[in-house]
Amino acid sequence: MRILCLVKPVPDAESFDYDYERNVLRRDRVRMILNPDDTTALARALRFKEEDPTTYVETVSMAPKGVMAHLEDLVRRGVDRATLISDTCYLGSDTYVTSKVLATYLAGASFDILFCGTHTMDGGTGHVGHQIAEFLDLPSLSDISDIDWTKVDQGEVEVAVDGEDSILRYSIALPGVLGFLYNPKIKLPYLSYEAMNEDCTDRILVLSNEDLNFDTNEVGLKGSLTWVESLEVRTYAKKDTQFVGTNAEGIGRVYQFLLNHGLVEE
Amino acid sequence: MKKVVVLLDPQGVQISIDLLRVARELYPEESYRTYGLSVLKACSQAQGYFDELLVPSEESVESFDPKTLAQRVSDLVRDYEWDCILVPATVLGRMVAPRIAARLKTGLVADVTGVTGGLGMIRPAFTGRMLATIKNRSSGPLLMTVRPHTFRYHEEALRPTLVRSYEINDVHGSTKFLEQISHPGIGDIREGKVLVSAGGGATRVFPLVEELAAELGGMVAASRKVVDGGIAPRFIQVGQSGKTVSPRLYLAVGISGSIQHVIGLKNAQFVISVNKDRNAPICSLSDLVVEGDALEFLESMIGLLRSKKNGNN
Repeated sequence: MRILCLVKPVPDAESFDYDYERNVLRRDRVRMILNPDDTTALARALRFKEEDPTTYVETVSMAPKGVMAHLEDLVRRGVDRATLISDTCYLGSDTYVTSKVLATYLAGASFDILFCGTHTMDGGTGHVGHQIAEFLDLPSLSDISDIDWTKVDQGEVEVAVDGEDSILRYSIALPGVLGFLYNPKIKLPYLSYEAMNEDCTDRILVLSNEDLNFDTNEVGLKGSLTWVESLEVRTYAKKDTQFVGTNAEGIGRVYQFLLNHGLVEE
Repeated sequence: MKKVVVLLDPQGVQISIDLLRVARELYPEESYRTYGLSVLKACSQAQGYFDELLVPSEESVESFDPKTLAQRVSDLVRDYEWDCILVPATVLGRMVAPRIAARLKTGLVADVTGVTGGLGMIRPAFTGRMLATIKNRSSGPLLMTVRPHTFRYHEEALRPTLVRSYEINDVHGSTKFLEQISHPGIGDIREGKVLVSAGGGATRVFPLVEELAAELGGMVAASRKVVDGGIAPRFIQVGQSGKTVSPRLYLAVGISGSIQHVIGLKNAQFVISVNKDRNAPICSLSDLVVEGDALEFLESMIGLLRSKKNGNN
């Protein structure tokens, strides 16, 4: 079984730092973390590898070279190979171009399943997995909260998709693209003490546009089909807030508020 | 004349009809013709809203497959030459739209919450802290998924609708729909007038949050933390990765009010929050803040409501 997993280091939402005077994001001060949904997807792949050690798990990322430390960490936690696709000409690529670049690499890679996260914390579009699947003519599902491997030897898996108001169960024949939802209970394996300083450079493959050979007009901002016209900080109107306690008087004020606005009947 | 099609999600037909409001805001000065596209079944409740309703020649749950559906839609785009394709950002819509975009080589903007007359599509960026206005520069149709309940279409279903059937030429894919497992008793929080919502500070008292919701004749909602913790199902999650709600009352118990959460509160008329920290972000968005412990509040509030109902003042 060969599982490839798309992973993306993203800015940590909690460390968002915006320069309101200059109207720019202070990117250098933003801490990067592995996208939570991707972490769950990878953790599921590594769990499967634990049960069947013949399984090959490779991560694939399209990102600046600054993410190398994250990829080294993943390799030390049991990933067989981390592939990083990185080139300055890819900067500013929208999801269509990103999917096209990743699909070009994946078209030449051998895999049974491509895992990814459903959402990313930064863009949050959820496009890339499905678009790669379309480019590679593979089936795809996202919003997956569970996977059943029972029939994997017959070339299929069953998954649970969190629908609008119900769980939808599907079987999907492999190869296919599966997008997972974050589940904090499914964690990456611990980093062993021995692995902490392990030299893993030979298990990280860095590819550039020299390898993928795109016309530079087809990628990056120039090749993107969408462009950001403007970006502004969102503001919320503050209310004239009243504070009360949990004592009888406070609870009485809450009740009176509900009564005054017709939210309870006297 | 512009031609606008709305993809009708069978799990959210009204949500899909609401997208007619997007068409009106996109083309305020131009005339346009509207099409409702049923991809799975007839969706007869959409009659009277669209100029044309396109229904498949046969219904098939097996085709509840993003690959097959994207192919079906793309084939019709070539026949009808739509200028704009509006897809509700439901689970199904968000799976199908990227594949349509890839097939048509057109730009796709996700989770749109506003549009401009100049064909700009506005969506949250950086976990909702910013709003980006995005434009499509491909030669293909304008394509977007629209966050449910951010647009409302209030007109009555009085339009004469031409119903057309289209042939299905599916090449059945390798995805098979097995079953739908519903959660009886859980309604759609997007329709709730009173929502009592549990956050990380209320994980241990979730049953009491449910009790308070019942006392108020409302519904239970939750933050991502509670859902991720396995305490509540994802269908009742409010926020960027959950649902957008517009209740009359949002009673937030133990919710700090991260930007990812409050992005899901669209036009909540009144907000009451219960929090130990009076500086929690949700407090500044609240009409009334109960500063204190969630358990104390819930027990006292439920007790008071019950005594009032029983006539014991």
